Amino acid sequence: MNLFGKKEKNAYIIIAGCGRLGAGLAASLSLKKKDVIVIDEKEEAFRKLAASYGGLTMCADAADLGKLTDAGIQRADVFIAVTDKDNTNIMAAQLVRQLYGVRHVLVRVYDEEKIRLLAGTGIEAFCPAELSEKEINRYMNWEDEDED
Amino acid sequence: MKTNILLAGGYHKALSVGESLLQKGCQVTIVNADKRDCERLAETEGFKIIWGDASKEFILKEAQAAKMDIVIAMAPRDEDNFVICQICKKIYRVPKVVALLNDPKKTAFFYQMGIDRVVCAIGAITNIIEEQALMEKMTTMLPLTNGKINVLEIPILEQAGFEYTKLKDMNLPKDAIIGCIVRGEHSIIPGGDTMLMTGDIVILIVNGEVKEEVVEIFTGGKK
Repeated sequence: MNLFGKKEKNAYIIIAGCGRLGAGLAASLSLKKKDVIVIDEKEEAFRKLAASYGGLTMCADAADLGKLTDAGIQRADVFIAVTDKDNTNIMAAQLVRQLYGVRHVLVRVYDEEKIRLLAGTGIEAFCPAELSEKEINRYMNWEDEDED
Repeated sequence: MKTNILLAGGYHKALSVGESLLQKGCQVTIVNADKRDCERLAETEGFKIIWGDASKEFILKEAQAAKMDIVIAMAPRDEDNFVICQICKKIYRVPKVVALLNDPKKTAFFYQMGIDRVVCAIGAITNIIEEQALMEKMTTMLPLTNGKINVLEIPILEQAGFEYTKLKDMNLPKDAIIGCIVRGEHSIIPGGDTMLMTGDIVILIVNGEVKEEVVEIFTGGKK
């Protein structure tokens, strides 16, 4: 998916959850001069952000409508839900999609079974276990062997 | 056949709702993630208890969610209730799913996402507090649609000074209508020329935003 093509050079990105993935993503997007804000419930989570991070941070519940408005959800082009709680991610993703029509909504879901809930919503869900499995299979070429 | 009801999450609420449903002759299944809570709930005869996270599909499967007539999600966190209801609705096709909600601002969103009933405890408590505060003026209030519309019952006292005032001269707010006037044994469906008498009881339908103003008008606080 080419999210940051020429047309969306100044895409505004909201990241919910400042864990290792959220913080890493925020830092690398900020290095690329993207407009980024990271939301996390815990203030200390922002310590994970690299010193070079030039975006914004907000200490709030990622599914709070008022706080999302403060974060500028109306003008957001991308919403990435990567908190450590599946249910929070799933609800926040559908909330921003349904109420604010955010174009690109990405969500991390640990529990593979819950991805079904997002079918047909236009929300892009990914599961770390599934991705790791694919990577292992790719590395070992097991999938190719099956075809032989 | 007995109505099958699943209560997902919560201890005190599950116990109290569950016992009340048992008395009504329902088949009650309770899912709770805390083992000790499960053991205490199991002391009540008649409950079927499942220990586990109710927002997991396999736990709901074990609880036979697909056979349920009603699922009530009452975990403390809104997002957990949301996911429980979505799994029950989308995957297990439960006819009626009910979610407990803390944040009143998400009520409309929950309904939009296909949850059949949303119970907002804070909203309900707010309405009760408001009603109690207005009760001083001898008013009964029935909030509908989460307090957006209210039905008010107001007795007309002498000090209100409405004797022989026509309704059309009362300058009622636009969002309030008088549904009925009860005078002794009779009920009157009023028109603009109807006059209020001391001792009447007025039944009003008002928008939540103007209810204080309406109460003031009819209790004589403001003319």
